[in-house]
Amino acid sequence: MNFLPKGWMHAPPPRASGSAVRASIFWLALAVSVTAGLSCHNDGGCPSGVLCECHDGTDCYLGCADGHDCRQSCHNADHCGEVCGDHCDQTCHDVGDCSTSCGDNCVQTCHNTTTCGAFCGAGCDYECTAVQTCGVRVGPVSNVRCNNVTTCAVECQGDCHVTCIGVNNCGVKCLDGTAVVECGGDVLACGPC
Amino acid sequence: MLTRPRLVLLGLIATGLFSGGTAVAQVGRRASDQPRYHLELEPHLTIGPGRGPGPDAGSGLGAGARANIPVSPDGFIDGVNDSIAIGFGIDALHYGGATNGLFGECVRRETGPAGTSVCTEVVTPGAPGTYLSIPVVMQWNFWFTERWSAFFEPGIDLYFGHRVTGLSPSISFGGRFRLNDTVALTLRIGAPTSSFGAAFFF
Repeated sequence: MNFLPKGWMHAPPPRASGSAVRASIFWLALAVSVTAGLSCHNDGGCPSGVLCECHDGTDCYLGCADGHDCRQSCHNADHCGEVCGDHCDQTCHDVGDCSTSCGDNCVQTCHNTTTCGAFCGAGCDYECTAVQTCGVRVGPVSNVRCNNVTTCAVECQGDCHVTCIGVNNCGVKCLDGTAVVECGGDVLACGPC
Repeated sequence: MLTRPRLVLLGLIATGLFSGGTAVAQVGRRASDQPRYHLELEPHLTIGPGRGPGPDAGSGLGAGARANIPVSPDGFIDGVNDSIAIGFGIDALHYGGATNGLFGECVRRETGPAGTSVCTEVVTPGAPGTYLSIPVVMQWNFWFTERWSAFFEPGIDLYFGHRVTGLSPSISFGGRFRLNDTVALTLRIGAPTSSFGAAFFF
């Protein structure tokens, strides 16, 4: 075997003609354009605007194909997880543990579940009902309601209002370091009432 | 090391594929009969008939380019008109996804308040996906006639997808039909992808 060139290419190689060069550039440009056009991606899963439901299984995990504006529902399963961007509607009920993760301006509901965990961005509307443990972290200008819950732990990344009704342990933490304000009527707040 | 009978068999297969079985006797031509070039530049359309290397599904379609640089005109076998080139390139493929791929698996969790566990990332098998791959191959060429040649390309593919990066083996067989001294049509069939395009010799 011989991997070294020998006795080859002594003569000048033929050069591609001008038209061939132009054709080459055209094909390359086409390839680059197609590549750029395909550079977007999505996470798969639920299309936006349509109710996407997963139920009666062991594990149900829902993503949002278009990133935002998904309607996700998970129920009657052992484990549920819903992940979405902004402007999403996420519901979870009658499961062992449920988690919801969302961007800004979302509505999240979790009920009749052992454990509900949630991350929610700004302008979040979260409701937790008939649950043993609710752990929620919300962005600024959010509202959280815990009803008939053993433990409701809420972390606020800005102003928020937390309503605890029939809750054994209602804990609110203002992540900006300010003190929790009691607004009366079972309402706690970070920031003004 | 390939024996002569195996080489002849390979030549038969390639010749049967690309030239209708008329050029077997040309395998033994001299290296000086090979086209002389410093670079073969090959833009092409690419298909991935199977699923993508990540969690995505469906068939892939895309485009890319390959550059082959000859490193040995004598190839591996004495008396056979073969040569060796090193090829590298780039391909982008989009996989269309399966129609029933709504539900996925949680691939990342974070701890929330009160010790809760929150899934923050879901990957959905069957979802559409786009990959960028960088193949690096050894191109073993067999020059049958002035117009027809075939090649065998073992190598590796470095691929990048959404949240997926990896290395996979690559293997292809292919053939060229030269239109003139500088341009050829090239068909490559293999895994994970196949391609069809033009080759320009410089």
